[in-house]
Amino acid sequence: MSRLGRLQIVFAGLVTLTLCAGAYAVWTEHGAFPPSLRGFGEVTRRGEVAGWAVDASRPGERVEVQLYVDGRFVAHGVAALPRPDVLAAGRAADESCGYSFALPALAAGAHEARVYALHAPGRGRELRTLKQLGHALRFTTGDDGRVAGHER
Amino acid sequence: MKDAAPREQANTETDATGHGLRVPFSGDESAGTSVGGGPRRPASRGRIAKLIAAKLALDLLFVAAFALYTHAVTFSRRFDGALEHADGRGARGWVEDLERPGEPVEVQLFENGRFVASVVADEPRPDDGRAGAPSGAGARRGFSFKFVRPLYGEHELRVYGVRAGRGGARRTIQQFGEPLHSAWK
Amino acid sequence: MEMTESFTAEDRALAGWEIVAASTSALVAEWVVYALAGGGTLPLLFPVATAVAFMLLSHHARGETARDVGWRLDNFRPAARLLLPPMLGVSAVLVSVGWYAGTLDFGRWEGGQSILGVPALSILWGPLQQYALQGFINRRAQVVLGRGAPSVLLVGLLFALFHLPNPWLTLATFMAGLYWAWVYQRAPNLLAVGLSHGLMTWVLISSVPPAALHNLRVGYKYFG
Repeated sequence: MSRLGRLQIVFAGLVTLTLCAGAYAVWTEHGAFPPSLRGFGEVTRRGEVAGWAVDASRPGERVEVQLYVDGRFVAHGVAALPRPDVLAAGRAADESCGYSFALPALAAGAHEARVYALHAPGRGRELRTLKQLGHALRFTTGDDGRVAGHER
Repeated sequence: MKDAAPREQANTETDATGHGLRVPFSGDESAGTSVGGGPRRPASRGRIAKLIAAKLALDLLFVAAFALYTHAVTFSRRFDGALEHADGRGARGWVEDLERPGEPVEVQLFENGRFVASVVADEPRPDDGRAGAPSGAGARRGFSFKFVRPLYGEHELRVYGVRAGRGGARRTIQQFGEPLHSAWK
Repeated sequence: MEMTESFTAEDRALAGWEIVAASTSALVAEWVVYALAGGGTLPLLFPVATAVAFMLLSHHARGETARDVGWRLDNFRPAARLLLPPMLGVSAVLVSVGWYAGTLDFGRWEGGQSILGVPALSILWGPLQQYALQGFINRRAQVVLGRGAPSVLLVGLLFALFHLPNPWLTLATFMAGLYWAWVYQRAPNLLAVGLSHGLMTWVLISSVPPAALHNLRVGYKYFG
């Protein structure tokens, strides 16, 4: 075989391996943290973390959500509160996709809340994942423990 | 090319100083073609081939590193532990963070695939005297769940360790130990 | 530099692989980095830096000057003359649609996410993309397929490939890519096609609401 032919086999091999490695990585990530899990959350003045969560690959089914504040588990729930606005905006298959968590008692100062969708990849029960919905929610609490300010 | 191929091999085999790599691509057969613009400087072919190989190899290394990292954070075993006892009122066991031994671990309990509760395993374990474990500071941390409402009937209980990744934007919940079947009347 | 001479099979094969080696960077960035590195821009540096280094070293190995590649001013006018009529036509259509739909907003680019995180730097993004697409891929495509329709089509297809799976953006970049590639083969001027790229992107995002183009998201990010 000519030198060019051998070179081309090397090039093709490298490209193929890169494609395979990339496909495996993206496939693993896609399975563990599917982009079809979508949602949004915000900290309200009333001291709640509220929003909505949907799984676009399973329209009509409820999504389980978990709230973490400052990296610690706070609450688990099912997003099933009525959110007609989300349905109207075309982001959900039905209106029962809302969630609302009361914030726990927190020391005065800056905090960060994150809401995750609970996902069970594959068929086995050995692995679950939590995919963050939207951004980390930063807020501050005053001396009375109430939400004093928040940014989106 | 037909005539050139054997000679090229001879060149590369006898001259490994780098000149040999230059010669095969600037063989006589290509010197006959016009050498006008940049793309046809025949002496550059060897360099271009090496450049392509280096670029493709770098891409492969980069992507393979991503693939290995993704595989590791998703599937590699991070926790050791056991769900030792469960009845209708609660459950208890121990867990060890294999990457950060002795650190507290968030443990989530699932019953028949449904979330039940989350606790932080941070209780010291007096029975943690295994060989190889750092003396004094045991690597195992105990946890216990107390059910708000008693769990009647038969249940399959599993405990999971939670690990955070990518600055907290991702969390994986990995089962450790064996599932425990409990029956409570 | 004229590229009408015939190249050996070896020249064509190497140039083809150079196109592949440059394209993998775009695909790795859009599909692997976007999928696995979250919102961080730092991991994007690797594919961008290796691609730029590869292209520069390739120019060097082939003895191409910046002027050969299209960084020059003497042919700016002929290039601009070829570019302006369709730019004006497409802009008129887009602005009319935006005006009719009430979605016109020429300040929208400031709120957008640019690739480097700084909106003002998006002005460099057009010329950089066009440098890779025309200054490198188009030139190598001409070695492989010769000057003319086949190489222009290859450039358009690759530019569209880099914008998958965003349907409207893929279509738009295919058409625009064909035109820019055609212009570049007649008057190789990267400043002109780069400016055209930047201006047309600005007109596009100013006329059409971001949601209609899925925020210009491409690759894995399109799903997220």
